[in-house]
Amino acid sequence: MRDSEFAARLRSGADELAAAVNPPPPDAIRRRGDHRRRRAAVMSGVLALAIGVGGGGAAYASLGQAGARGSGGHSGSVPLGALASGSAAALPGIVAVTTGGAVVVLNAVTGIATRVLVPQVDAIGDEVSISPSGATVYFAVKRDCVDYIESVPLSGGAPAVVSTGVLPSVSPDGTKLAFVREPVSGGPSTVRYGCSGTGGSPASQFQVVVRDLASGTEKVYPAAAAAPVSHLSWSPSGSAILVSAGPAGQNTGWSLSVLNAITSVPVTGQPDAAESYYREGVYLPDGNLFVDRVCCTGVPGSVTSTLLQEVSATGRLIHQVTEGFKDKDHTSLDASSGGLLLYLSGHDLYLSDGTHAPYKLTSGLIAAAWLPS
Amino acid sequence: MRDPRSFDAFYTGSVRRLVGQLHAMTGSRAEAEDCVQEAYARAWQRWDKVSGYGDPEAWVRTVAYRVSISSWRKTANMRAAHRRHGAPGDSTGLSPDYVAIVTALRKVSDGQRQAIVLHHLVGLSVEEIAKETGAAVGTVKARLSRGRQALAPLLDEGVHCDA
Repeated sequence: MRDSEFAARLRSGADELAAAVNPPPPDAIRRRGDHRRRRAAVMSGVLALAIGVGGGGAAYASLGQAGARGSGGHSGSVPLGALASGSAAALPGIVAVTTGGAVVVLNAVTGIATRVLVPQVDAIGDEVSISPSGATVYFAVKRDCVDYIESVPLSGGAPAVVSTGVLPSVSPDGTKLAFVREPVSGGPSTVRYGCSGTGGSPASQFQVVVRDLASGTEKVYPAAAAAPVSHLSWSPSGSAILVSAGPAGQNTGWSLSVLNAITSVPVTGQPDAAESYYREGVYLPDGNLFVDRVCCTGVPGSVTSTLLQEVSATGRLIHQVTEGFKDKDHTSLDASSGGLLLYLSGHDLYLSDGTHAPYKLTSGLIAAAWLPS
Repeated sequence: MRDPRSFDAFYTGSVRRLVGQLHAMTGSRAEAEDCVQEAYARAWQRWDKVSGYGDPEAWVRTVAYRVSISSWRKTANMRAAHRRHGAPGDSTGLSPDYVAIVTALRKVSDGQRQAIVLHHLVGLSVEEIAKETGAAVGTVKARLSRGRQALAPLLDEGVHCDA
């Protein structure tokens, strides 16, 4: 078939189909557009109100009706009831760790902390994880150069130590907890994640641990890449864990690997054909990945582009969410069960529905995750 | 200031054509209709700007295509499309030749399919496709060439390029 014949058949068929289409009247489309416009206005108005009251972006510290105070100590809370009329009020909540080391629950519309789960515990980032039932929050704390995973009921209560380690990630069925441990030669009970001057190569010492929450038994896997592990994410089926690691040494060799009980498979070549690296990635509900893809130059490397994208499990680009800031790290990536995205750019929390440009909700955070909806 | 009359005229004059083009890109009439309607709603949302663009139809087509390739939107759209139109079965009444082409198009890569539809159906030049898709001219040429080669066995044909 010649190109001209191919084109003629294609056009003829498309014309046939177009003639059979019965589109809605234009006023129906305009009403739909107006609805979107009003919704966007409500969102931006509420956001402006939250930021204004919260004091220039530190809205997380301004507490609502629960009455507790965050680490920032800003006053002037906004009644939550006044904000609940926005269409985005159905958004799931967010659990976050503040730069002051507190674990808080944020209203995803206003960015204001509605509750302080654990005040001033020296919680560390960039991962906080919530059980699928929404009952328990897992986070990491540092005490005397030892890192612990702790849990606290979302309904309130005293935190309890689960194990040593960092970067907690609860499995989709809620029965297992994956985290990272960096044991020194004295054994797995001592952890020195983030402490300087302890010698040795951290690249060879990171371990991914999967703990059965009922029995307390643990499986230990060698690190999926020769670099510090920076984030963990369970696949929707619970059969694999996506391990973000890097940078390696002073270079920018971040990597992303899928770890299951038997194999550790790189998502793609590191770097890929565009000489980019996957700085961090998490699973989306459909099995694809939400990643920060970074391109860089030089040794030690400087970032030349950072792109937040949806890619397939093999690294094929599906959709670009946005371009990030070259001078900031993009961490704490997370996707809700409905596909809503969040991430931190430096200490700023950004939200997106995946199709619209992300917007900054609030500041002053080192970790964040969606609550189950 | 958004002028509803100019939007209505634009919508009425182009919506069927765009559904036809999106159908060739997605292979699903219901999905094409939903994505195109969503794109027009977004166009009206910012009609004061979009109406000033040189080719608003290209803007709507690009947005509709982006909506269609987002897998999250795809899932939501499919559910909505099923509610509105029932299960797929939207090839009824179309010529077997066209159905065969659309079926074959679904088997080539997204980039190749988009380039082929924009070139052979919409009638854009390689340079115009590059501008609309954000790809390099060489990439578009390669997609067109490899796409047609990939389609040939699927359509049980040899490849004959026009001189």
